[in-house]
Amino acid sequence: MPQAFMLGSLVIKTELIMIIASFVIGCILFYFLSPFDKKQTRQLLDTASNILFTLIISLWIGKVLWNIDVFLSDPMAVLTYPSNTMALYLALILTIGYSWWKWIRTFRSYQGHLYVLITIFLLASFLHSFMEQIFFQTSWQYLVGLLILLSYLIACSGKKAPGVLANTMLIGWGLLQMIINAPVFQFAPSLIFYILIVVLGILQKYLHYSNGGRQF
Amino acid sequence: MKKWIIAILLIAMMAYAVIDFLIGNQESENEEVGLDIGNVAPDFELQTLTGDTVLLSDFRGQPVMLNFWATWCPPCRAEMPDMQQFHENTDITILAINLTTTEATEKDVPDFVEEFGLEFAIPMDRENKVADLYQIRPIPTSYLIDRDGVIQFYTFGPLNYEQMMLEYNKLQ
Repeated sequence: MPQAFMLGSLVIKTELIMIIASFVIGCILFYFLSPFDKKQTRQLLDTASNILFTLIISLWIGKVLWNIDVFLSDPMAVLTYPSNTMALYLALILTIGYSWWKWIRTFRSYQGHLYVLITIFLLASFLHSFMEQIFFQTSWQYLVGLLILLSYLIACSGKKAPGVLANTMLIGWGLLQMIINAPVFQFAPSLIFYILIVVLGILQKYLHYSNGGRQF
Repeated sequence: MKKWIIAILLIAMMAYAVIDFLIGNQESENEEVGLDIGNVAPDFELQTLTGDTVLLSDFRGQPVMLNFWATWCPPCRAEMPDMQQFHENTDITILAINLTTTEATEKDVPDFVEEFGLEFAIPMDRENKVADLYQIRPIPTSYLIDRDGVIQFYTFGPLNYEQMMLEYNKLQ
């Protein structure tokens, strides 16, 4: 598999095609796996795709902010450059803030959206990791870890509250990455990031159960 | 029912990936000279900006990054500070081959090197021979070559420091 395709002078990286394909297929698979009714699933998928689109825009903003001195002298140099993990952190903060203000607003709504986003993210990560393994012979340990998480998610989908499952997945994925430390698409988050993810999952689970463990 | 079909599909995909990995590991590497991953990188000799002569095969025994660039290329400019950092933090030999025939004047190259404080070797491809040998189309284009002279990674377009480190760690 070539690393990129050339369309005239345009270079389209295979990695980019793989990431887009993974998320599109992830969204389609979520539609069939969703424990919600069809109307609610469509609404949640609509919002999730808006949040993912916001993340892409935020990554560009994060990349520009992180390289603001280069951007002011040579904008094209920054815009054509791949985003790094610092840009991802900035993008996540911007996306969470904007999404909370624009679409979520309540903790109940947040837990439902978190479930959708986590499921799509895990499915997309699995598909991307599979394609990487097949085309470029990378590591298969991450693939196995993701399969274990997804198997649990699919088996418990509809039986456990989406908020509980989402937080279990956050904890599981964070722990998996603390051990394997596989790249997340093109990014390489630090150990502290994964520790924060695990702590967030535990805190939210605690909040859920201390609130009487109500189903959504 | 749909849930279980998807679960079985995911398990089948993983099984295929693991088998593919194991079979791939058993196959011996195709050590022909070529431009694909697993091929021995084509050898070349060039003079650097400082007047030294570099021969790729002289670097056997150490990892090498070949980077094809020019001063007028915006992504190349963005990539250079990260390449310098990569050079400082690893034992990799970077050969940043300048496509000199595409420069407005050759004087632009030392100015560029001074502006970015580059300390790695800049071989000058004054006759476009190495660019032809490596069939360079978009720039920057980078190759990562292991200690045996075998290509382990190549990419079109810029790499950031994290991506360079990721591929470098795979060479270890």
